[in-house]
Amino acid sequence: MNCQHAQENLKAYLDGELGRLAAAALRRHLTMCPACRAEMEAVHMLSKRLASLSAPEAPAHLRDAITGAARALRPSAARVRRRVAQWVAAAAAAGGLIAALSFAFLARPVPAQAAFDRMLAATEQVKTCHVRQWLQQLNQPRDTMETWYANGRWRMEHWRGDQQITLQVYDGSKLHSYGPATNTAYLNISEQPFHTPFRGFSVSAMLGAFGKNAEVQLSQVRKDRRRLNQFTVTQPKDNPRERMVIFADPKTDLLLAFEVYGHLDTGWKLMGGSEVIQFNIPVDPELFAFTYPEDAKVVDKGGATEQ
Amino acid sequence: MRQDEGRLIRDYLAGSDAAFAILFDRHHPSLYAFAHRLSGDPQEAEDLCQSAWLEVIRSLRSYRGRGPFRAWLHAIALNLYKDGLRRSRLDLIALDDEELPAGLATDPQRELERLDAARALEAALNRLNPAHREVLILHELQGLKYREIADILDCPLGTVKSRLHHAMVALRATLQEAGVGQGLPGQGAQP
Repeated sequence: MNCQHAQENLKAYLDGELGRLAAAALRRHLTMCPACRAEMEAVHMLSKRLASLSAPEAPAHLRDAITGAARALRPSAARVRRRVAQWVAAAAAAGGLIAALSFAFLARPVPAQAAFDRMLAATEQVKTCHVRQWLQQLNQPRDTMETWYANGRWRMEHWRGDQQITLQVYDGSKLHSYGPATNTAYLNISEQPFHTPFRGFSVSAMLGAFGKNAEVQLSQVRKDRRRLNQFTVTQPKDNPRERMVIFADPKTDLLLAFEVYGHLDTGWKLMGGSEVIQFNIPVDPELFAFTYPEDAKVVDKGGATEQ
Repeated sequence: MRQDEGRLIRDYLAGSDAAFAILFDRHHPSLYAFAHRLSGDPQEAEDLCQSAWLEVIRSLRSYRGRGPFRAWLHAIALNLYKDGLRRSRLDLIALDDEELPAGLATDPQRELERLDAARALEAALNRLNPAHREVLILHELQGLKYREIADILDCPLGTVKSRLHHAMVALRATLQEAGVGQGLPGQGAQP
């Protein structure tokens, strides 16, 4: 064995990966060759230095997101998924609408700061929330959404029948949207910063996704002697033909319902919206019924009322 | 594959979320470290991990313990890194694999002298060509065996051995170029 051959084998020898005969030949060479022994020491030292590099520590929050996905995606969960398919969360609705209705995310300051502040304080207590999904979104009656919210992190899955359309994960500052890159892998299709703090199923969960240039009008509407906050979100420059109306409990500013309108040739039409939003804190169920904008013409496919 | 991992996978497919959690807790720290070392970016490492685990979840039924789970997981992450996530970012950032890390471009020698040994080593590692870097990360940092690496890279065992040798030579040369190879005898010494 010459020096070149010996040195090519040093690494495998040190790793215990060299065959028995080759290792014996190398050992013989090393007894006679101080240069190769020095070389072996150098390789050994470098390996030690590499092994001593500290491992980057995995952030804890990924565990919730990934084990949650495992729970939802395992084959035996499919039956459960179908059973609970109507349940989604308000934040899921925000994400889903973003994906489905192609809202542009452009920017202008949101004026309703006082309402936001109250809402932020109130929603600290919300840990879980579900929305009974409306089933008329873009004429896709098989569309369903599932969502989880815990410890300030949120994830949502959008399904069409048994096919998953998107996965969205909010990590504390950004909303990451994934779509299928192949039949089995997911590709990160977008990454969108939230411009207002995200607090679970709150108005900010929806408004934060619109970007800073969205225009938000806060008004109050009455329903059964109760007053509701109504946030009307528009994007006049970039998406003048769509608007979203969000209804919130004025005491807690928790999201109660939402509607999406499209301006078609015949005027404003209701494109979709939530039915029931449930919180794990007491909310008056009567608040789930709400009024529509005055100039809205409602297309009734799910129990909504013509204005 | 560790003997009980086959059972964990079967239990998960049969409906046990706890079984998946055990599998996850066992492998995720290493997977994240791998993703982080590959990408050099925490956010990208998170994306990569999520994508890799989703792929694992979707493929477990057909996997059925064909080989070491750890190697399979690393292979998925590496392929995702190569095929998808990394490339999409590179399109935007246009990083050059041969380029010096940011901040080192003006005066590499002086800058590297300022870094501690670990950072210098990591910087040198990042300057290697992708094939050398991958194999060093897989073996030296992730602790995978040659056979596992051969499976991951889908290449002969001899290629792994040879590539590791050349990667070590290249790494030492890079360190010496940067002036942080002290204590390491010169490469390729001849009697």
